[in-house]
Amino acid sequence: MDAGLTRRFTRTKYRPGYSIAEVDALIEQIEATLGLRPRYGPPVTAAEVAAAKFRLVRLKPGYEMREVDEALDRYQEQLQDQGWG
Amino acid sequence: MGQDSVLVRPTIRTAAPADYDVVAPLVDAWWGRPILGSLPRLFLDLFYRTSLVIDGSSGPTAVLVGILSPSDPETAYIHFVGVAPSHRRQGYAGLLYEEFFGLARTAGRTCVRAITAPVNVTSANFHRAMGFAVTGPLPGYNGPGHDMLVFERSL
Repeated sequence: MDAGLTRRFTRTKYRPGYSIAEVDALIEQIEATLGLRPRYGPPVTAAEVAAAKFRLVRLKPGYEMREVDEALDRYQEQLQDQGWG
Repeated sequence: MGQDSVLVRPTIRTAAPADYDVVAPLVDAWWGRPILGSLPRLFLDLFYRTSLVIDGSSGPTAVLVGILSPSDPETAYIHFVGVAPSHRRQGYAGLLYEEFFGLARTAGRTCVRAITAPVNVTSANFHRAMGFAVTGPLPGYNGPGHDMLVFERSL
C-alpha cells in the first residue's frame, strides 16, 4: 500500500467511516486508470466510481466519509476528461 | 467487530404522506445544497404509492419519489432521490432504483426517465451505472437558464 494514500483522508474512530482498505483499493485503481501509477488490472470508469460502495466501520479506524466523497467527485471529472466516462 | 465490515441490505417500504414532515427538514442537508424547493408536499401527498423509503434507527435515511405517468402509459419518472450522508455509498440509491424499476415494470411501464442539473456529475455517472442513457445538457430544458441532463432507461 502506498503510504501517501493512507494519509490522504482524516481518520475516524468510534463513529462511521469508510473502510480504509476498500477506499484505498478503489483510489489505486482510479489512479492507475488515470496513468498516475502502473496499471495491472482493468480500468475503472467514472460511472463505476459513482456507484462504488464501501463498508462502514465504527470500531476500527476509517476514512472521513465526506472527504472521500468529495475526492471521488473530483476523480470522476478527471476520468471523464480522459475518456473513462 | 460485528458492526464493522458489514453491508446490510436494508428494508425498503412504500412511502406515506406523513413521511413528508420528517423528510422535508432533512433533504437540504442530505444534498448539501438547497433542494427542498424541488420537493413540495404534493409529491408525497399524491404519489406516495410509487415512492419508496429506507428507514434507519431514527427515521428515514433514503427516499425515492417516483411517478407512473398518468398521461404516458409507457413511462415512469424518478423525480427525487436523497440519501442521508451517514448512509452514503451503501448502495441505497441503487436499491431504491431497482425497487422502483420493478414497481414500474409491474405496472406495465417500459421506460423510466429522470433529469439532473449538469453540475451534478456524480448523479450523471450514477445514472450511467444504473443503465441510463444520458443526453445533454439540453439548453433551456426546464426554461430559460435551466439546462438539464436527461436520463432514459428501458425497463
